Amino acid sequence: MDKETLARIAEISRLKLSEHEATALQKDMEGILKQFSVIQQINTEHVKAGADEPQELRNDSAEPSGNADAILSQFCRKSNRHMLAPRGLE
Amino acid sequence: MSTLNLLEQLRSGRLSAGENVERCVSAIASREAEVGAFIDVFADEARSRAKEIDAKLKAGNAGKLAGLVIAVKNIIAIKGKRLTCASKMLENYIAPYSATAIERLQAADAIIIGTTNMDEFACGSDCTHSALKVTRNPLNAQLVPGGSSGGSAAAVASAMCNAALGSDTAGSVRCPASFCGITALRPTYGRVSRYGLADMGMSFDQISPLSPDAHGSALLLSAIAGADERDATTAKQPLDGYQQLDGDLTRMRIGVPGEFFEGVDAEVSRAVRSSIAALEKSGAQVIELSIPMAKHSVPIYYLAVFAEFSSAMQKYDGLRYGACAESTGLVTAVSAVRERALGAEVKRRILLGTYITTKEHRDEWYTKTLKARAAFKQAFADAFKQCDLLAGPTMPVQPWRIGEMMDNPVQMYLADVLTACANLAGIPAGVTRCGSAGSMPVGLQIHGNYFKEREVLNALYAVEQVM
Repeated sequence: MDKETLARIAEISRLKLSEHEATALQKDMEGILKQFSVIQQINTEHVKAGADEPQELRNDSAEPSGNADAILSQFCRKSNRHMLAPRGLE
Repeated sequence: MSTLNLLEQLRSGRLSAGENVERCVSAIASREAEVGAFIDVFADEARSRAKEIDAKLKAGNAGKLAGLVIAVKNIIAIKGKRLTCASKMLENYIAPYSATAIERLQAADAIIIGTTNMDEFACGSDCTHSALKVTRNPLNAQLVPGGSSGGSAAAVASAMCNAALGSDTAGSVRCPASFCGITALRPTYGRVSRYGLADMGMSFDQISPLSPDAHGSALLLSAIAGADERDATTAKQPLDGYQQLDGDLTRMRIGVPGEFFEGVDAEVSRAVRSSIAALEKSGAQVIELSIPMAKHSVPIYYLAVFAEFSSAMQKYDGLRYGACAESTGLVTAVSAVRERALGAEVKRRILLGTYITTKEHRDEWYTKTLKARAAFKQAFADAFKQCDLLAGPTMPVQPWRIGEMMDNPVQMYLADVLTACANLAGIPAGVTRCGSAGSMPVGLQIHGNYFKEREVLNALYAVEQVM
């Protein structure tokens, strides 16, 4: 885990890290991955990864939630019933 | 007072719901400043609700939890109340709806007394990773209560409530139950609806009861368990008479895997071995066996949960709810609010989850983890061909000092080695006090096969009888 990799992962994760924080996290993450690399020794040759069984889903039909106003009230910034967000394209 | 005794007093009118609430409010007034179990206390609402329930008790139409005072981990939504997840990110967030488990508690006439502290977004095993406050072990304030549902366990252990709800992703109710000397049960995955539970690891999480004894957990489970069309992962398996406990284990085969005792503190080991011997003496058949996969629980669990957690955390963007993104430019604003409002352990897990699921590293880490998890599950299914229950310690160590693990994440993760097994296998597991190590309690952990919660609870009750 080098500095550049951590910076890229932080960007994908939408985390802005300070220099101090990045140094500490880099060390922690290296230690954790080293410790957990034991997983490579587990024999999984004939094992299939995936969900066990299909889930039973409810009908795909619209139902009133009854709490739209409560959800709208949580928006940080809003205009009428719209959420305001910072500009996406610089 | 045992849960059965308390219920009997409430139903017979010898104790009113109002008096029961006042007892808990009084315990909160005398112990909360030291213990720090609660995030919010709803004393006045609890008093009003108690009046309604006392009327129902008199009229003979009260629900099965009538008058019981319950605390709720602040990761489970209660409509109109703060749902902080002990994070600055959600410090002022008000839940717009209630979790199914809360609706079911309220329908059964439970009284909710408040919301309890936890590790931020359930990321931790000692309740010191809360961004809002520290919770201390009510039995020794220098020590951690365990986590992440440490506030719920501390509230039960100090009689600030009669029982509590927590959530368990890798032992988050069983670790604090063990450290605080109480009982807790993590149900089979799919037994209790996760609707309204803020997710940490969506394929592991289960809302779970904590209580002073096995009957308390049985009672809460009987109220909250069952299929829910709002959570497609809930099972339609019939409920299993959880409250019919007799403590009779004469036909039960209890498997004791040697791996459960590897690296375990000697005093903890001794207390657990002695309780298993007592169960054998009372009629259970004890079988020594081996589950070599059990020692890999920590890496498999953590790698899987890092991936699920980093995905679950993407919704906290500072726009729709929670802490507000203030900068200009969408990416800058979202990154800045997450930097400011999330704690170190949460960031560590998000970064690791993102790393192991990137295209370059996915096969080496994430896909390998999923396969190892499937192999782990099979290993436990094979073990249950030889026995009905598995027994062993809950925690490999005794409660540590507050702050001791703050800079040592690996050490904290390793403390979950015995509890993460149930979550990886998707099976139920319960914990109850079986003895002491020094002045602190030791918890025996009992695992059951899928949907065998009643068998686990009955074994916990048997431990209460023989110890």
